[in-house]
Amino acid sequence: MICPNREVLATAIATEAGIDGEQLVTRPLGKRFLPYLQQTLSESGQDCLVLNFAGVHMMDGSFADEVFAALAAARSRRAAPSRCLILRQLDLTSYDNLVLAVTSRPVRERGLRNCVIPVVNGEGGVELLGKAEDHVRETFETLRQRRQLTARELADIQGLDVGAASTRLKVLFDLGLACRHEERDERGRLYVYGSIA
Amino acid sequence: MAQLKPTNLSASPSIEQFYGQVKSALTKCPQIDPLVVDLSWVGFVPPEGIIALVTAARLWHGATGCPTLLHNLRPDVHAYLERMDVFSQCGAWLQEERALVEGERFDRSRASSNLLEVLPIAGEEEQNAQDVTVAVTRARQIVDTWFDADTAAVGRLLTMLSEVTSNVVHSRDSGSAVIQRYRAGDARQLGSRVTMAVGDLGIGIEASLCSKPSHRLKAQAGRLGTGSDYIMHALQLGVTSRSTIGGMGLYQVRSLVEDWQGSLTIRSGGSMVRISAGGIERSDDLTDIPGTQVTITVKGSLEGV
Repeated sequence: MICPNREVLATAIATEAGIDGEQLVTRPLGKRFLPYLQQTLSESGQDCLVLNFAGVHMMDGSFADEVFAALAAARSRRAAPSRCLILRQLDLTSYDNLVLAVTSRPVRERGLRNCVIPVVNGEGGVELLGKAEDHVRETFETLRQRRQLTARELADIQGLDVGAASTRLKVLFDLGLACRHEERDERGRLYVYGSIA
Repeated sequence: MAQLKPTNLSASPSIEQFYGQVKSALTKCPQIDPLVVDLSWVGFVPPEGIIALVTAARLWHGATGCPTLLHNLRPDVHAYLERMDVFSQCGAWLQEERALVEGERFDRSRASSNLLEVLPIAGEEEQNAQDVTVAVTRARQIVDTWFDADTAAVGRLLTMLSEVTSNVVHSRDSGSAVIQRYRAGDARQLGSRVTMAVGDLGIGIEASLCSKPSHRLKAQAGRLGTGSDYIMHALQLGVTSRSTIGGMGLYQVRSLVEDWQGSLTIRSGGSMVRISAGGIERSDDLTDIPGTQVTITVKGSLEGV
């Protein structure tokens, strides 16, 4: 199962927020944008929101920090809802500024174990920008290869007990890097996690 | 009436001399007269020179209530300053001895490709965000031809413009931004020089940082003593006067300038830091001028110059 996705233009969210969508710049405008992005994420439900940057000429580091690094940091602290978000069609400048924001955030905000945003790269794959613990990247890649996993399946692949495997998948979900739905089997209820890539 | 006659406004030493003369005039002259600046010796005013004129004029006006009058402007310098909107944007503080007539002005369409005229940058956060957006939008229309279709270079320049103008909010004042491209010299291989200058007359970097307890503690511990210490501190990742997470802008600007082998000069109060391919220069014995003035110079193409 690949997570179902819904694509939205960043310029459309900017327009809703009363911002010039072509230039996503400054912290105040980032602060204005974020609630509208969060609302759109909330409306996406279990779908993965793909935020398309077509039409955005530039996003500066300050804006990227106020929106995407802040969102990634909040998810790491479990202070934001777990909704999948992937960015795509960033121009080179916006991409570089986003990289700076998410990779430097853990230096500027202590205690962040992860601060990661998924981005569609040039080859059409999904790369994780920012800081991610090794087990996060490993589990993300395993899920990408298998498309969907239960805790028991991950435990078998990575040689973990089911509890540890369940925790790893839950971390992925909390960081917005996987979707999940609930199923029932002979043992009861279980979560099936789907890949966003 | 206080009269000054600077020899030029193109290089840091001459700008510092000019600032010194302005401060000296403020202490010596009756503070009810305009400041007269004779520019007959000045053949060119780069962006940092424009910011110096505006800064001096605002300083004089703040102390006396009187404007600064520019006299004996060479025709091309006069036309250039008029084209840069110096008098329309800063006319409350900086005035020409006479207005240009039609025929004396630069053709705006031809001149437009090499300069971004003086843009006001507010210090209040919401207005600042709007002004920064306008500045980046306006600059994008011009700078595309400045870097031989190198879109990454355009993006870097606009990123630096965005971050430096955003920082005016920390000044608790308002500022101005200017960008120009001009020949670096006679030899083609020198290319062109692209210079961006942003200045305000606010509280300066030291006062801005000391508004936050963590920086006051550093100062008390002796780790921040001089003005240039504060400037260097402000360039570090994570250093901000905000109460929220920040401290990326100047760090990024420094990185971009260094990668580009350009130069970054930050002047605040009586101190200055200049970072270039030649290393870091620091000064703490300059004339004390309120606020912060930032100048960035990088190499551009000669297309259309």
